[in-house]
Amino acid sequence: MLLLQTLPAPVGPDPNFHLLALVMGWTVTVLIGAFAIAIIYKMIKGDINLMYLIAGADGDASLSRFQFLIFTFVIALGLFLIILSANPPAFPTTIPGGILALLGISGGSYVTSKAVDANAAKPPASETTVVVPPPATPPGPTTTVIVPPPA
Amino acid sequence: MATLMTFARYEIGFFLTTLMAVVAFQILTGRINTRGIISEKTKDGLGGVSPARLQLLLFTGAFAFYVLSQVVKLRQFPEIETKWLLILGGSHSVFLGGKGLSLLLNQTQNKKEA
Repeated sequence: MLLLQTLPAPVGPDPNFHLLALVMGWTVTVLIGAFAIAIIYKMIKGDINLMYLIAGADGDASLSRFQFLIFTFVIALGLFLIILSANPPAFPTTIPGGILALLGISGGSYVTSKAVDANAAKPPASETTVVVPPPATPPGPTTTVIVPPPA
Repeated sequence: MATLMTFARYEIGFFLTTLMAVVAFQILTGRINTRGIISEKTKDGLGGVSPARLQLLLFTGAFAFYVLSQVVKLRQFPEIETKWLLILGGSHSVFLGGKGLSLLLNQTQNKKEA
């Protein structure tokens, strides 16, 4: 007696899943594109005010913020170019430690500069006013009020 | 799917380049305040050009240009030697040290005047 074992038919890729992925991909892409255009438009029109983009607490331009901005743009643009240059586009497998150190130096310098500015904005100790709360008044003698019952 | 990838590529590229172009344009036309970026900051306001700030600005520009040019040439992030990182770190230290010293001098002067 021969036992016929039928193997299950191979399952091909689901065309509906591919269509769903395509629709979702286009939806997200168009949405991101719309946000991008809106942001750029508002920046050009002035609704998103970039006047104090690199300004410090005093309103003047801060070099630490400027250098942080420069390095952020450079790394972002570089990463974008590297992703595009791969076929198919892919995130780089390794990011050299030097680049991370560069970002770390830039960011650390910005944070330290902010700390120095915050310290400069604090009033000196001689100008600090200490308010001492008045001592709590001791309770006086208690007064008992006798209310006669209603007639 | 290939069309979607191409569209997304151009979209992100457009966004990044336009964003940088807008920021650069606004810096050049004065819509982004750059007042005092290389000036000494004293308690009386802005002073003259600060060498510490100027050297940091020059090093920043040089490094940024180097990294970007290497990425365009090699299509990958360059390996930055430790000595160049030390130079950049030293430049930042000089800037921050000068800033801290300036703060200390201002506070000492305020105490004397008080």
